[in-house]
Amino acid sequence: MTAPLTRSLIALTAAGLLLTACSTPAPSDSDDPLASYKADGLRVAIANEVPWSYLEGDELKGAEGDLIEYCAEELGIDNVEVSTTDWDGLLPGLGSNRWDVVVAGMSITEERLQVGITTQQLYAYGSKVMVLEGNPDDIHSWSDVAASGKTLGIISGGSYQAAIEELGVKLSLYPNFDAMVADMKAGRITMAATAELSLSDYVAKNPGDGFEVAAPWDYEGISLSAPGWYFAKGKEALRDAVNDCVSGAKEDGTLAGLLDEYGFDSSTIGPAEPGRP
Amino acid sequence: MPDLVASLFAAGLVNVQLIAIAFPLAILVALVAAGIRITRIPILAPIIIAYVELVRTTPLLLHLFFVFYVLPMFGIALDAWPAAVLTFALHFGAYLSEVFRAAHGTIATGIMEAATVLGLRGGVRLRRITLPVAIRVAFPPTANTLIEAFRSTPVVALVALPDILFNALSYIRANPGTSILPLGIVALFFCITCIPTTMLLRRLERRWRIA
Repeated sequence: MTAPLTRSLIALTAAGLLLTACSTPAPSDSDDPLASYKADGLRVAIANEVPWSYLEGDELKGAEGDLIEYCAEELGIDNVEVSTTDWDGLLPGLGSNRWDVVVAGMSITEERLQVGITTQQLYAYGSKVMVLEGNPDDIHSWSDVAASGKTLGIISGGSYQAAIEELGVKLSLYPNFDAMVADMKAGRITMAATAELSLSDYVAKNPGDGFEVAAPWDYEGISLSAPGWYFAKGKEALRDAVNDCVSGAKEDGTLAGLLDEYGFDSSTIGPAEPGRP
Repeated sequence: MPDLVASLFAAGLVNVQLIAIAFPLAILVALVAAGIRITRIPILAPIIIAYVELVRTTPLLLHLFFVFYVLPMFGIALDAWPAAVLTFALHFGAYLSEVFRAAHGTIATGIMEAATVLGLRGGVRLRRITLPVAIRVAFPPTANTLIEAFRSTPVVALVALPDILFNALSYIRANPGTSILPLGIVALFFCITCIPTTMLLRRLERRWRIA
């Protein structure tokens, strides 16, 4: 009984190998470096994060999601194929050719540049401070928080904790957003910091709490993440084409429009620049 | 809230479909592996031992990562679904092969000798004596492994198969301040799929119990 089973298992495996061998995309003969993407589509990986890049039904949305679709269209690529995966799978998938580009609000860091190449910095986002309505302490930067002498709530583990402690900010640490907001509602703290998007979303959904996001805001270079789109090394031609599209979108206001639409701070868009190795 | 329940339960289909396809394959893998070890087929038996020990001593997440992200570097690029099914079938197949081997081991040599004396041999002995006894012994631990495998399915979010837990965590990130509801729905999903399954399996177990 076992011998035929073993044989069919081996046959199945062999068939699988053969199938995958056939489905490997053949290199294009044409001079157009984007020809293979125009023919087979652009494979985009996301981590399904609102408002960066996410799926609504089958539709790719988000500030970066909309922008990559815009760029695909600009480059004459009709088909955008989206894979949603856990954050930890995004970069490994470039190396194993699972997708062509990671579009997930992923900030550009030296460590990540070891495994891939990126476009220019698209925009920046970071942490801001939520204060009582009317901003009674006139808070517009981390230095203002320090000068006020009041205690600031933050979620422990934030990468900017050391930087604001150095400015002399008094901190109260919380395990998560819910606990921090509960303490602010109870009146034990009067200001709380975390990712700008979480704060503005919370304030918009809970107008009765009497909180607002401090504005205007000077990041003073602290807590800022500058995302770009990652490609596998060796896909410089695709990266350069996409990067040119990003430069255009920065100059003609397309990117600013998308950032405003999805609640990002469009004043963080930098000048157009080349992509990074 | 009904929308959230509907969308999360729809994502739960990934978990259910994966186990519905992969678990029968795991049983098949286990039967083959246990058969090879019991009959001590030369060359193949040591390979099976190595496979079972390797799988049982390393995490499922690692296997999944290897199949989806590392194998392509050697020219074997399975899509997300085949990669997940293959990983689950091989991983839980290794566990089940030990269950089946142990079940076979519990059959007393006296019974086998008696069967032989009565003139039953080969296929008939397997069908009439060995399998009926072995299946009854192997059933409860196999049912356990099924539940265990089902509860492990959220790992497939790593290989671009967004399941129910991944979608719940996405929702929480997008809606700060709402962790209880989405996670509660995930817990509910696993309860209402697992509890009836365990009840059904227990009934089958009772019905087949050796008197």
